[in-house]
Amino acid sequence: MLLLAVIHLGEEAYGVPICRELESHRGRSVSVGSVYAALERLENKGLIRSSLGDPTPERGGKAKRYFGITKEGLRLVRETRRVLMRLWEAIPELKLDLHQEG
Amino acid sequence: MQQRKLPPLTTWMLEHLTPGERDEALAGDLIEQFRAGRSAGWFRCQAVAAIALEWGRSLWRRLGAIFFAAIWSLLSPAWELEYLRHFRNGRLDDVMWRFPFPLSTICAVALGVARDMIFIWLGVLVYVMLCRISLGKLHLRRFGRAFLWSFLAYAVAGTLLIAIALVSGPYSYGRGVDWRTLTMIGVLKNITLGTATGYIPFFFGTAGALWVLSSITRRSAKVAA
Repeated sequence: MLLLAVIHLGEEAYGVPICRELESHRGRSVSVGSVYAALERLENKGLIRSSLGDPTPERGGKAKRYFGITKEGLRLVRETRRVLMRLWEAIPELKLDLHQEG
Repeated sequence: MQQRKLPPLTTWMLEHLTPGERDEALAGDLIEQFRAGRSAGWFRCQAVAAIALEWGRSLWRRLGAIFFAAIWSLLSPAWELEYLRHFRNGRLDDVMWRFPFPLSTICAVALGVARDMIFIWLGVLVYVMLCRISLGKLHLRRFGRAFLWSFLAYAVAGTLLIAIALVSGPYSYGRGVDWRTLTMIGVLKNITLGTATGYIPFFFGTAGALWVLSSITRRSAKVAA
């Protein structure tokens, strides 16, 4: 989900929009700290990269950390999508098998 | 438009109570969301959760160092026993107690602290060597700061221990046990709650130094916002 949010937001992917994106899709509040912890794990795995922006007054003089997807991250997202699609495609067959058994 | 005033205590906590390796981005995000209309309660909850999470993650990252500090502090009674056997009633001790009060007490305290710090830093050096062998990451340029943190942690824990001993009485190795005849294994066999508290300053002193030496910093390029 986080990787997809980072891809979707593109150049504007920093903490606040990422959290909003997650909240709008999940329908409930997320902890900013846990989002950062997950982003750090993804960064350590080389799936995303980050860079600090300039400090801004509306943020109390604190800088934004922008996130971007890496080639490896993009490859993983595509791979996950492919696997999920295959799994979803297998579901109707599964249902059919259950009806036949019943 | 006038900006909403940030809850001062929570802002202070965010700036001072985080382990120090997280950059300011998280605090900035919370401030931005608060100023965009989030409640003070939301800001407090998020800040406390972020601080707790960061400390948890910092502890988890340094689990090896903390485990080592605990094991190393278990050896402290052996160091103390060796010191007492060799230097108690020795020439240095004799000269020191001939000084007038309070110089004699100051010298005794300084000698005790130096003895304990040598033990703590022997442990740090052993850990550094172990990390070098296992290719672990350490920030060896931070030795000065590590020494300061180790001394502060040791001093705070030691002071607390003295305060506890003043209230509950001095600890001993148990009735009928002569410390002069104790071996390392004997010390571990005769461990009591009182004697176990003696390890605490050594643990905090060693852990304090290793915490600084193994802290993680994020390096990244600045881009225009």
